[in-house]
Amino acid sequence: MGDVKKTLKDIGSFMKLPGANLFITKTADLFNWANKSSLWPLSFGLACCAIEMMATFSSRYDLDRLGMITRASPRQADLMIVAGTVTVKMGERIKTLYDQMTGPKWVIAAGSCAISGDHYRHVYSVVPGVDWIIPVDVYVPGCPPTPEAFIDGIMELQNIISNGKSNPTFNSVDSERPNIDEIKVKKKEILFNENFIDGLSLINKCKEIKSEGYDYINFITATDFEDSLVLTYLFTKNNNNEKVEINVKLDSSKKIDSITQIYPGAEWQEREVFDMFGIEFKNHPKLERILMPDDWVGYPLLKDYKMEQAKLPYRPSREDYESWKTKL
Amino acid sequence: MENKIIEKDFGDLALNMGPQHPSTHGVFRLKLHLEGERINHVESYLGYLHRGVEKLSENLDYDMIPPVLERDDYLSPTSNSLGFINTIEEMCNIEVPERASYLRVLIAEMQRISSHLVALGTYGLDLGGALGGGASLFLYCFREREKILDVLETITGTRFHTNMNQVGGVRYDVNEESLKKTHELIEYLKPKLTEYFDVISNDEIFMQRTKNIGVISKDLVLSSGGSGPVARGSGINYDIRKNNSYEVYDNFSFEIPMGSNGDSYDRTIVRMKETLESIKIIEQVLSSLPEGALCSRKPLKSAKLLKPPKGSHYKAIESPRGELGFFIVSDGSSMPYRMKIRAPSFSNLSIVEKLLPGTYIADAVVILGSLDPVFGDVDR
Amino acid sequence: MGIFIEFALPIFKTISILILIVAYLVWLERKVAAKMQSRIGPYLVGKPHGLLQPLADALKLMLKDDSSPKNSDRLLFNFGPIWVMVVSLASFALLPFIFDNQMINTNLALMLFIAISSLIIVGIFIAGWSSNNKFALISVIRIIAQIISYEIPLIITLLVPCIIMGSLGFSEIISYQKNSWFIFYPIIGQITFIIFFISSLAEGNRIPFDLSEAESELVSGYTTEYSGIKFALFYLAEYVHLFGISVLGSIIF
Repeated sequence: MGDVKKTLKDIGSFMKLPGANLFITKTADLFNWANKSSLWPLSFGLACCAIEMMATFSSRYDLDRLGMITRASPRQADLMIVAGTVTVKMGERIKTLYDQMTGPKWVIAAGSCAISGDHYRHVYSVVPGVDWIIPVDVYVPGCPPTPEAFIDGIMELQNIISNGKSNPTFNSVDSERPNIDEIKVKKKEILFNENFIDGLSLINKCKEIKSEGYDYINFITATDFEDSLVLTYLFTKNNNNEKVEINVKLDSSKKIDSITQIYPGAEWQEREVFDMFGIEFKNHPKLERILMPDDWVGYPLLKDYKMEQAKLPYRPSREDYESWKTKL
Repeated sequence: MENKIIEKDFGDLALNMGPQHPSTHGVFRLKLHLEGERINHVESYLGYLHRGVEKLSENLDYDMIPPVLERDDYLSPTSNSLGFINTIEEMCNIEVPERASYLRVLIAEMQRISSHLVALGTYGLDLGGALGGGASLFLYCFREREKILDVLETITGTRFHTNMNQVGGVRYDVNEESLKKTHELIEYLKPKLTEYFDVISNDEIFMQRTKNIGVISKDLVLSSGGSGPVARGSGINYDIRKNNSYEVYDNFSFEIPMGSNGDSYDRTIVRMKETLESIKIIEQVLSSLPEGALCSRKPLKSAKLLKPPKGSHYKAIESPRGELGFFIVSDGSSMPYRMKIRAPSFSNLSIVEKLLPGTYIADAVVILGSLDPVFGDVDR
Repeated sequence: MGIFIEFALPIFKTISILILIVAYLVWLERKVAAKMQSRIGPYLVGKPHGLLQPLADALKLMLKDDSSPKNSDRLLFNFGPIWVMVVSLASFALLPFIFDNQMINTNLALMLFIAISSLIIVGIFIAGWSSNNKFALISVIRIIAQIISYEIPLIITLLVPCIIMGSLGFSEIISYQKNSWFIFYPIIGQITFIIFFISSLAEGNRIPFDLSEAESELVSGYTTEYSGIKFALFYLAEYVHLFGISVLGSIIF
């Protein structure tokens, strides 16, 4: 928006007409007024804060009073409200969406997760603040911010627009994130020892259990112990609360038969275990990462995996920063 | 032979829905392979909100974990911390005063209503569109939800991340004023919820869009680990509040609403009926709230660190979305060695890949909405 | 100068009044919808009841950057909104809605109006096809199927009064209804009006026939890739077309 105002001033001084500058500043004010009066946000929510954002749009707080209606397409939106935790996987998409929006455009970072990562700040998959990815105009604090805080943030943005001075903040390409202290993790020996069976007999055992009526699968998970990984399966009888737990100790090859033939619903559960522990399930229909990006290195829930910082796959290039500095 | 060539020529049209899409209820990506408007097969991508809660909690004391967990399933925060705290209390054999248990049930049921209201409202948005009848339903539901949040705010001080539960009891007490407000709320909600229930169960357009759409068979639910309204909509009588009662749910009389067909309509109706049952529970809590202590432990700052005995333990509760369980492996220290969250939305959502092929695009939205996934809960 | 006064002035007058009417129809729609949903609606922009809201929206859309997607057909992409706007305005040359005399007064006015307004679909198709966006493509396929199938009942219902009144010209139709409106014509009047009303909803893509823009499925239909002034043109054209159909309805019935 500053761009338009500058060009207008240039034209004004070029024309050298009496009152031309006044007229043109007034026009710029009019343009600013138009921009501020019809901020159309992108309907886009990430986590808890998005629920509060929806509450702000609903009857009691009604952002339509300020002339705001949500647009689903980023091309028609002026304002992006980043409400919720930004993960590495989502970070790339947020940048794409930001690029797809047509200028003039603004960004509000709502909630402490979008501002700094909050208590997820040091988790491997979380971007510590959306300003590492895109420039941010207004920060709205709170976990989650109340609707009043949202409205306050929007009015603050309107003030910024009507003053014509937009000065978004972002972390430049040179700045590096500070290191955190490593937490020393000690592996323990196996802490529970009931219901262990041999890995080779798992399929037979599952068939047996299923024929007994345990056809509801609760979960599959694994735990990383000192000398081996232990897989835990839990099944429940239909209409009943009888549970049966199966534990399997894995050898160093980290391979086991998949039970998707018997329990088709185990597909996602096994994928999650593969994603987090690197355990390979033989004969699984689609063994891919499910929660982490496909090109992620390492298996986060292993004890050796440190709570290290997210490796941001996308960092805005120097040209991006330069263009933001001049344009905005 | 000729047919095959034609098919090859046109091929599939791969349509990406999400992660930013008005009706994916958060950050979820569906890759639909279309033939005309019919879906051939589906690939789903999740993990856009994976915040590593399980890893994070391996580095936190037991008392520090509940507030983090409340951000997990953000439509019903209390049930998250309730499930975790129930597991810990069973592991350490901690008694809970009866009044605290009643208050826990009160807050949990209030949030069950508000969660189902959000589910219904956003479902209306899926069916309706921005300015249509769907948006009206959305706005009405949020209007009633605001009333519930008001009462929660008077009791706990926050709108919906209440942070009410702590190991051994609850943090906040109710007083006369808040009890009066709760009574007023119940009086206000009862006719409204009944009205919405009547409107929805008889609405011609709603029935046309949802009846016989996305039918989930009993076998599919069971083998996928589906629970909550998704399972009950298919006629499976599985509600942990009844089957394996926790807290003081045994003291109250309420029914478990059930569907029969397992279609989207049944799931929505089950949710609506559940809100009415929750109101019954709240009424019983209010009429029989006992006096007594709030917490069996000392205040947090002076209390000893919790150190559950070595071993593993699993305990589940009924969150609005289904069976929410916690599998905790303790090594005897003050931090969990491993914590697995058994998320209901994750299991429920895994049905979607098997359900969508053969339906139309418009139905895909309806089916996804009827499963009511919360992505903080799916991705954790 | 004489030619200018004779042709350009009425066109200018019609268009400017039309756009003003349509802009405030949008404002009215937002207000009424808000009332139904126990909200307030536009309020703070232009103090009494957000009266300046349409102006701000229009100005803002004009100020927005222009963008066209990668691999799109630029020429067609830019041509689509212009086509839609021009066609939907052109149909108003036939409608006597502001002043007593319409700009073109022929015996075949109704025929011509239908012919022109059915050309809008071509512009929409161009827009959806050239966007190189799958949502837009599916939306366009839906909208074509819908409009073509609902145009047939629409035209047939319009023919019924014409046969009874014995003319296709609007002035004759109006003068025929001097004493009593056609909608009061026993039985036939009411049936034709109901069919006309339903199919005109489908023509104008209004709820419940908003398949093409079904926001929950197709983001925002064929306008998904459009921004700024081009989107404004589509938005206006849609309402102009809607207004046109409504005026037609009030003339015939």
